[in-house]
Amino acid sequence: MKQWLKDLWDGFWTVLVGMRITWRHLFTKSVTLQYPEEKWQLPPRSRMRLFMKYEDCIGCGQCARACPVQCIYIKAEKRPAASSAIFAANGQPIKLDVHVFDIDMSLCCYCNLCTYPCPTDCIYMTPEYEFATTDLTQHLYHFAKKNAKFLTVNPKAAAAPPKPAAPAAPAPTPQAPPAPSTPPTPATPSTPPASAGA
Amino acid sequence: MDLAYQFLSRQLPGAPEWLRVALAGILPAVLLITFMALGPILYVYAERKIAGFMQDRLGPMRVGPYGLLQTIADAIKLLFKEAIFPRNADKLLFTLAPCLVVLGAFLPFVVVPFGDGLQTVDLNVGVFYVVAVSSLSTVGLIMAGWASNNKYALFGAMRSAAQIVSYEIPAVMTLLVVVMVVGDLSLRNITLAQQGGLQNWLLFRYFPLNVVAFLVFFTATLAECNRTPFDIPEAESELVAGFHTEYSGFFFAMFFMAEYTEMFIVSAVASVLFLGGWYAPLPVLDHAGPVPLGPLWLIGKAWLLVFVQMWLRWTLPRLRVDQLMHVAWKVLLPIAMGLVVVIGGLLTWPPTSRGFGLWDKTWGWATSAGVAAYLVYVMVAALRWQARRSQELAA
Repeated sequence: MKQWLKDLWDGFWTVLVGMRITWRHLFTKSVTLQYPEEKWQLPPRSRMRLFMKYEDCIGCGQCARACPVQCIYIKAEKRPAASSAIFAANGQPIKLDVHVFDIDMSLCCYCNLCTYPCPTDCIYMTPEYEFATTDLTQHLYHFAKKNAKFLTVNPKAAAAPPKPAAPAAPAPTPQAPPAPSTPPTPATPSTPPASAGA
Repeated sequence: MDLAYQFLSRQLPGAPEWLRVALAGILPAVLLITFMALGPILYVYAERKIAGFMQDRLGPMRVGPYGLLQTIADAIKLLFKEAIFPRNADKLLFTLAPCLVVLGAFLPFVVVPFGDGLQTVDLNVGVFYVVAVSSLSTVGLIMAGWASNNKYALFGAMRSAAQIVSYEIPAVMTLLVVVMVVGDLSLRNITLAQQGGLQNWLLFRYFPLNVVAFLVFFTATLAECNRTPFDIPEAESELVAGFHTEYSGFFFAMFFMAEYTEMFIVSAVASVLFLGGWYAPLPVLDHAGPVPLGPLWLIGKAWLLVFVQMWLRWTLPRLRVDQLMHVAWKVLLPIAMGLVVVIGGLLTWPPTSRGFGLWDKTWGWATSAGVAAYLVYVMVAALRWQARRSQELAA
């Protein structure tokens, strides 16, 4: 009988304790984020959509080799010796013409492994995450673009005199349209596209 | 109904007697059915909002401002959905079951006194009538489970039958306590016995005893409504959806409507029996000038109890079947029987035949004030806790 009364009281009291807790939470500020109106502040260096800065790519293909899911497709060939020298932003000479640089974001596993080997830091992940589409093929981003403005002077060799621009012939090789979201061309001094005869 | 009849006699003096009687019956029926059919829209919205807030969410927010139109949208969706009949289901029983459940939930409204005279019929067996017709929904639940031709539905129905039969007994025993104290079965007379403010409510008569009776009654009705923590008939983690597994479209909506209406009706009956019915806590508040506020007080008290039911739902986990039976037969039933015996004895002893006198008048008040103060304290503590927590989150 004593145990019965104790159990009864325990049951009653614990119900009250539980009710007190839920009552508290009734007035707590909710943690819900009303998504399209409010957005989460992403931390810096969050790994969302991949981006590739075509003007800096030297076509070495190390990113494609590093990729564990093979979602980067590169086609490059040697630049003709006659064409003028072009450089990446960090002073590396670009010796290959990159015809195709495609990234399939529907395959990408956001591991960030492709960005480490890049010698010119031209491939990196952006905090952009709202790129859902109704068609999966739209996740194949084409980064190789026509009329890319390459640096014709080595930015690291500041003393070097500017070379005259090469005859303005459009690069015939990249058959892919421009990437959906490309940043404005680099602010560094640039000349009309160097000829890239294939 | 009498009020409606008087009103019609004044408005339509030339109308034949049968027309006046018929209209006097139809008018309250239409009012009540509107109230009952539209109530669940409000209750479901409240339930979802309360659930959201208690889990630190926002609840429905998308449809209309603050999601106010969400349940209306849901109701429209359910109305337009196809009602699917499973193969080998008993069509007749399958269709009849939700109607019976709704009937069982709606019929008790006939005797609920919303105010002095605002009662459809003042049956002299009111309490008995409520107990009798609210059990109809059990038959509906069993029919639904049987006709669905689905083992989960049948499990749910059998559990529901066992549960309601078990919990009906303590509920009726505590009803008996009230009926013994008042000496009348009519809900109107039970309310009239509680005239004159808080200290005359039956909750505070025989001070600690009737409070226990109220708690037993509330727990038992919670189980009769199949509400959590006693929702094993529709335990979704065990039985898909229990007895309404196979129902879709409007039939499903009818089960929902019945559940929420039943919640309101047991709360209304509990507030009539223990919380003074249509009377305000202070006699001054009974009328606003010449306008009687009775219906507002009764609905307000019922909604308070409905809120407590929702509060409990989002607090407590579901009971196991054996725990459920343990609570019914080994805890609530002995308490209820003890109350019947003790209060029956006290009633026959002349000094205590009208309650504990001064003890009731003082301690009932003191305790209710204490509970109210504690609630305010908890509310303030909750707000302070929330401020502290938002600071922690910001840090």
